Amino acid sequence: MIVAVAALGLTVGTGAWLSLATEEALRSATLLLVLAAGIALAAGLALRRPIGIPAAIFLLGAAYALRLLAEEDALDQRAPILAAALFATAELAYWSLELREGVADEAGAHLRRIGLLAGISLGTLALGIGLLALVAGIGTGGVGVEALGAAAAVATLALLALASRRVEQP
Amino acid sequence: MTRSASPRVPAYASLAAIGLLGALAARRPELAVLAAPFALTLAFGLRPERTSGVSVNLSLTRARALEGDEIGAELLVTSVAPVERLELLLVLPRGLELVSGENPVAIRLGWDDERRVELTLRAVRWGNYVLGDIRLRGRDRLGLKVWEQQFRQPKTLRVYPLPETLRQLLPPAATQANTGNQVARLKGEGLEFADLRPFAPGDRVRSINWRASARRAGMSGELVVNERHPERNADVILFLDTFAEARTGTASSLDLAVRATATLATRYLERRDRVGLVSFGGMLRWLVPGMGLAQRYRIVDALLETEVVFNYVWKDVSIIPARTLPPQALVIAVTPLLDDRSVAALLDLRARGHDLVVLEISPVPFAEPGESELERLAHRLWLLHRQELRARYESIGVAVATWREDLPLDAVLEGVRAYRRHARLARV
Repeated sequence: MIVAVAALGLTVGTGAWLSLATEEALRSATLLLVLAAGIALAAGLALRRPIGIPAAIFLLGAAYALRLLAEEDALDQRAPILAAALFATAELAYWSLELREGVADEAGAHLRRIGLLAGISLGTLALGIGLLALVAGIGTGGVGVEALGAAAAVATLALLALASRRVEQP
Repeated sequence: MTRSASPRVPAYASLAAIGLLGALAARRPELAVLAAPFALTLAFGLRPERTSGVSVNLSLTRARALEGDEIGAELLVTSVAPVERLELLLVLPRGLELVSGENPVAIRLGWDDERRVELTLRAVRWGNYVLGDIRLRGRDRLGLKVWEQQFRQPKTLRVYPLPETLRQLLPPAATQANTGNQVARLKGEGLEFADLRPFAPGDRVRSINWRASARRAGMSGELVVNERHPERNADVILFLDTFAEARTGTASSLDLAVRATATLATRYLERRDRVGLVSFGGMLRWLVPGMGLAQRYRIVDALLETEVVFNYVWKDVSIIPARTLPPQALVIAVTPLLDDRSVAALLDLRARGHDLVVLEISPVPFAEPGESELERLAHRLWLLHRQELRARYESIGVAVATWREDLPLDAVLEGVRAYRRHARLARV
């Protein structure tokens, strides 16, 4: 329950920041997306449907994308913080679902999990800062960068197809 | 072993793909930054790893127990490679419950690791249980890959019914020829005094009752000798009705019947009587009368297999092998008197001259009278019908004792003992 509340709290906090940071003209649309994200996550957690988690993350990401589209071309330095927050939200939500399966954990398991989550979130933050620094260094335009991005997207889709396959062994 | 991807994998892959494609389309690298943690988690989490090689071994502290006893179970888990989270579930059959320990439980295993998971189980109901269905589910550190495995290591646990306190048993109307603990009604060599009679050639001197002879000396001058009752054993047939049972939740009339039968078998065998078993129901099972510890285990093991098997076929006592029902045997029928076939079979047994006692396992506590007036009326009629049934048995000289769980079996059988104190077998 605590983990689910933490995930929802993080969603609400992220949504509130996005709403406040967005321009007045786009605020209602952002609010709508944030509200939908909150509902998707709450429903997913309440009904034990994992599909609500990526839906909520997508909606929050969409709200951020809306804000980016309305702004100038300057790089948003707060993106790594948002990335870490979204990732932590997703991890907390999945953890909450796992906890509700009724399997008793041994002592120290929760602390290890929290440590791992904090480590990955900090790593995400560092990675985001590094990526933004890289982009600022080489410039945002250019066919090479776009080709790299396209290749990464295709590779991720291939990974999706590969990983989702269920392997049965006798 | 079944391997699969957790729900995280398609979700993270979708989010990463959408973020990266969105970054490309909108020309905003910030969206790629949002997608990066999801993509990297997938990249790290889905790299090939060494198979964990987990194996589980189940051991029980005992193979036999009584109802209500606690049994220790230990799961020894070994692993070659680390498993971040291994969920273990020992599937418990109905009738066994967990007292202490965690089931299911999640543990963490390292390289060449070994862990012991200790559980304490309680046997709630008698029966033959097979434990050993163990389910495993392992997850990697990032929770992306899930594998499931099932181990089957059958371990048999026999749970015997809890015996009832029984100080006195029902004496049979007739005894057998072998020596036992039952004082026979006939006269012969024994311990219990029976009567006096005039001395006859061949009588042993030690059997002369000198005091009685002295008193009678003035009258006839004859010596008188003591007559005694010999101690003999008896044949007892436990007739268990398994045609039907009354049940509410986990309690059933069959459970009580099995408990009573096991108690009676144990006590009669302790008294050196020959005890047989006839399980009369949808499936007919029998054990010919026998003596000793081996017979006790045979009977109890047969009782553990007892179950109500639904069957429409009309059965009567003629299908029971003749040597299972020896003449002059005391037949104790343990029955809820719910099925017409068993009711008729018992009447038939009595008509064939068997010494019959009916221990009725009352189904009344298992049947609620109902809410409506009609239901209550039906309940009252049913009770009257049962009363009439008992009266029918008593009219042909069969004692009927009604036992409920809240009554001591000893007290119930005392009524039958009183009823049969001067009983003689007669053709009806």
